[in-house]
Amino acid sequence: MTLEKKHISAAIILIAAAVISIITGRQFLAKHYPETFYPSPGLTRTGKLSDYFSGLQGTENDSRVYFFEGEEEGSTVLLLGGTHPNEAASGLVAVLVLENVEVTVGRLIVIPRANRSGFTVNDPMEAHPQYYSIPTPNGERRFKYGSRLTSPLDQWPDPLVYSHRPSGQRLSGFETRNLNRAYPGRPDGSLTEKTAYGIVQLIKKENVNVAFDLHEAAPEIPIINAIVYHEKAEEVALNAIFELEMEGISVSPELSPSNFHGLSHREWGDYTDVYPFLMETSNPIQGRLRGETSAELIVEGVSPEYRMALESGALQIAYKETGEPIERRVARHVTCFRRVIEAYNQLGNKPVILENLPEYEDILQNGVGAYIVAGK
Amino acid sequence: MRRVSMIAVLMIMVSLSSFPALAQDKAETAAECGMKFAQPVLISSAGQSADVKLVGMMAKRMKLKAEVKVMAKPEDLEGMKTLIVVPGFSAKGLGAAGISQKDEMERVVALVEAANKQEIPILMIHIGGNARRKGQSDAFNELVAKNSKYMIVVEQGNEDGFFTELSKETGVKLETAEKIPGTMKPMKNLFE
Amino acid sequence: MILYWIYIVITAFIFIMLMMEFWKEDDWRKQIAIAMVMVVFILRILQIR
Repeated sequence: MTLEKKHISAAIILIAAAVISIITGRQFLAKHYPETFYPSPGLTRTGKLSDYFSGLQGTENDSRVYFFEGEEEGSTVLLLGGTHPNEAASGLVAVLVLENVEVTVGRLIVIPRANRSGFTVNDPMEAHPQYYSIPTPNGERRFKYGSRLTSPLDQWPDPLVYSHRPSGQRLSGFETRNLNRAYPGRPDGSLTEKTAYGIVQLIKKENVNVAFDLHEAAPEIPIINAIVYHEKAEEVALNAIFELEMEGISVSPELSPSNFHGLSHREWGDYTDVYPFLMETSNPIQGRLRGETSAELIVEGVSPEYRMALESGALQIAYKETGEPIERRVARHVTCFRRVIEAYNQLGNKPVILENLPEYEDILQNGVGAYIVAGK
Repeated sequence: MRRVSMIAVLMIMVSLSSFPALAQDKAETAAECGMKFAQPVLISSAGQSADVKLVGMMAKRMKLKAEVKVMAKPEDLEGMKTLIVVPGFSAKGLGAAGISQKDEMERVVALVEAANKQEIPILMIHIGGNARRKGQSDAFNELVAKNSKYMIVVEQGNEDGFFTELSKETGVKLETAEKIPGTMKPMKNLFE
Repeated sequence: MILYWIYIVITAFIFIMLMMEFWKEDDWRKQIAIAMVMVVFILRILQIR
């Protein structure tokens, strides 16, 4: 009798566990499906990272590459979004550019999801949402919110100490899954190193002249609302920052340290002919002081806890009283991206002319949703 | 009635003169205090922020006879008539220079002391706003401000009155600009 | 890569052990506790999460 009873309860609990596994499994599995983008009519062709490094074929990180080629010959620009998939504005700006830009002179290459594996998971212990939504005139568009690092399902185990190649720089073990510590990458390395290698091969093979790596950081991080540049791109960076200041957009210039390896602004510059720029905005959901962690925090950027910190005056934080909404973060990135290209053109280089991108004030007033397709 | 309005005008004038920001704007601009700096100019950093490069770019646009040396040492002052120091801490900048914060502080102290000894006036230009305030920046800001003859500060960096207080304490003239490009005008006036 | 598959095999082994314990367990509350752990293991073995 007892035996029967325990088996009945076991069967019921097992069915419940199976139902929970199916429901949660479907939700987690959905994060593995690639997002749909709607490129502007200016798109001339698409490719994949494996076109530049075949070792990425069949992996999660064989990201799609979008080409916008002008009729007139000019320089080539690369825009990288989603290096760290928990930095929402980075991937969103790449999508906004992808879905609006028209190139008349030169070429623009966009990789909106540089570390696609990172978009399939969330950082553990952070309570981050799986998605966030941007309201558009035709309904909400949902985007994946991911992890800073490559998924452990795609790259495991982490070493105790991550030794960057070829510099030998030693970092914490988990950094082995950080794309922005993996450049210039290795063809026979980890998935993250292979991804970095693929991107560097693309820069070389496509003769990219100017490259952007978009990021966000917690408000308490000192390098924020900043453009980090390689020393060879200093003149372009300073001219762009000066123009941005004239428009009332404060941007800190930050010179890439020569002894900090694996980062795009250092290794792209050292290993290729490109002028690299890394840009940062302030995103409260990444900060330690944030309270309630939700998709609204990603989009609205309003955190009462950061406001308290601001009012206390005890901390040096990049947080405004009105919060750090996605509109401002996206507007900053788009405007900085445009001004750097304009400065590059003005300094006598072969130009790149991008059209149909919104201005800073347009994005603030109309919202990001006005410049992206509603989607399904 | 006339007497009442005169009293009102007087009261407004008295209250305006006691309002520090307005009083300062009125009395301490480069043009009005008649202070002048001579060329050639050595431009250096205190804290290794890349702001120094922006100041260098502005000096170039103004066609000043200036040399930017982020890691300037006392011997670089030879033949210079003015030292512009741009304070502001940057961990990335220190990394780029390959030095520690302590090394940087020692370098700045030596440079400032050498300039004072050789009677080369120091002009402080703080353009980094909030990003180059508090934290590790203020030790550099204070050191340079206290040893300078004139301070040009972008307003955002003085929201808490840090430089205003230092100006009051030391008597060093302070002029503020709304944005970075706005610092070019006072710079130009000082070197005309 | 081989380490990864060893890890998956170990996870599958633990899952089977859990299943056996689950079936032998008399107390339904403990059965629930074991089932909660099993959900995590099954998602990992199937490489969903």
